[in-house]
Amino acid sequence: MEVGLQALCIKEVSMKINLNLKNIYLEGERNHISLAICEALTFNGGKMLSATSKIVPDIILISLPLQPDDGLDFNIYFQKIEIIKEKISKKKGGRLLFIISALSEIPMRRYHSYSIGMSGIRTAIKTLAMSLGPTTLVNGIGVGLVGEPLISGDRSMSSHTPIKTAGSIKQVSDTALFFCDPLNSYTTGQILCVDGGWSVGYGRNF
Amino acid sequence: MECNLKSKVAVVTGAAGDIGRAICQRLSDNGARIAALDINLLAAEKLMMSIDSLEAFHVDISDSASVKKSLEMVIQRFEGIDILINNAGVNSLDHRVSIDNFSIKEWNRIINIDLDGMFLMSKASSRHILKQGSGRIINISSVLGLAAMRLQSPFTAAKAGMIHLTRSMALELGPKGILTNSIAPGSVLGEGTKKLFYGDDGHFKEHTKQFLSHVPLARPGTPLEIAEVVLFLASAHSSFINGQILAVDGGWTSGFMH
Repeated sequence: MEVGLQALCIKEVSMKINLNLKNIYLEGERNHISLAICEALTFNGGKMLSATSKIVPDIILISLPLQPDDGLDFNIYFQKIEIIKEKISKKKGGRLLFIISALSEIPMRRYHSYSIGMSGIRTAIKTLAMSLGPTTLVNGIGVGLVGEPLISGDRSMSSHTPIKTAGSIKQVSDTALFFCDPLNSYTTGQILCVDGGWSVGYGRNF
Repeated sequence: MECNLKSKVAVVTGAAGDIGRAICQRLSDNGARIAALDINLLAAEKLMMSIDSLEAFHVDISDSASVKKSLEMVIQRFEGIDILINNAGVNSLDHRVSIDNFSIKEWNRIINIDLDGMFLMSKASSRHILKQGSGRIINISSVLGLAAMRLQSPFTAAKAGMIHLTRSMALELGPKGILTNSIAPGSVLGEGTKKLFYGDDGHFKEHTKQFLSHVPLARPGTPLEIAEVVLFLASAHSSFINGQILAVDGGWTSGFMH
């Protein structure tokens, strides 16, 4: 899904972090969630870089498709990760933040290839955290059922989610602010699911 | 990070310890009123001198009568609870032996405080939080609940228990408006842990250097770095995060470094 930055407008960003003109680059999928994150980061003092910029970014967002699709070629993303790894390793104090699916934590039978791919990205986050530490922190957000109409996840997830409503774009972008916050400085190699508890266990009574 | 916790009441157990004190400070900085619970009332009372909107209460979290009494006093004073931080815990420094030699008395002491204490506090507090219709429970577990370590069997068992209890609570309480999450700290350097890290010469001990070589960030964390994560999970900005275990460990649990 491709949307333009102008399509989004975060009216209320009450959580505040101080990015102090840090340079940000978005790699991968441009969708409502990744663009909202860019907007929230800009609102908090970050500066977006274009694809042609020669500046090495302080924060790189790597956005993957969030609607399960077994036709997705994850090799493209693994290749991109290698290029990004090389790029950010030259920067001290950088952040890599992956926007991935909660299926990285719990695979879904009906999305065999997509679950495997997301699980691979999950492992990549952890190996990158080890390779790029101590200078760069690497984390991921595992996005569950978000948006109405649906932006992320599969409708069937709702029956096992303790919070019965779908999440919002802002709930994901606030989590991205948390991971980019300079004061959140000892968290790396983590995937935090913003999924209402879908990946926790069985939310039904048997 | 700045969040708006104005008028929220946060109960913090183990408030007088290194991490507890930092949690109280950051929640108070962002407008919360703090009920600082500790078995050492005198130490908790000292926090009142430096942290705004904080009151100290005595509790022995391993004793259900003490938990009940303490929370009654909190409710009497604050008229409700919005956030519970289960932070109190102990480990054994002098009984680092394998299970065949582990003292039953020491096993019971650690399990009673670390695991039973979380259960008793959560059981009693959630009844009050449910009356408000929404709230947060944040359990401070440990990376040893995710990755076992030798010679600390009750601590690893209790922390693993805390982590899975967090998940059960998330499933049970989530539909009722209470979000439950856990933070699993790695090595944290505070006043209480300095002697574990440093030798008499003021430098890291050899075993500390060895241990830190397994940590991607190559250093221990600070209590404030743990408190910053607590602040996010206690805020309205984490309102779709439930049942998560977030290791704040400098990457130690990411994988094998060598």
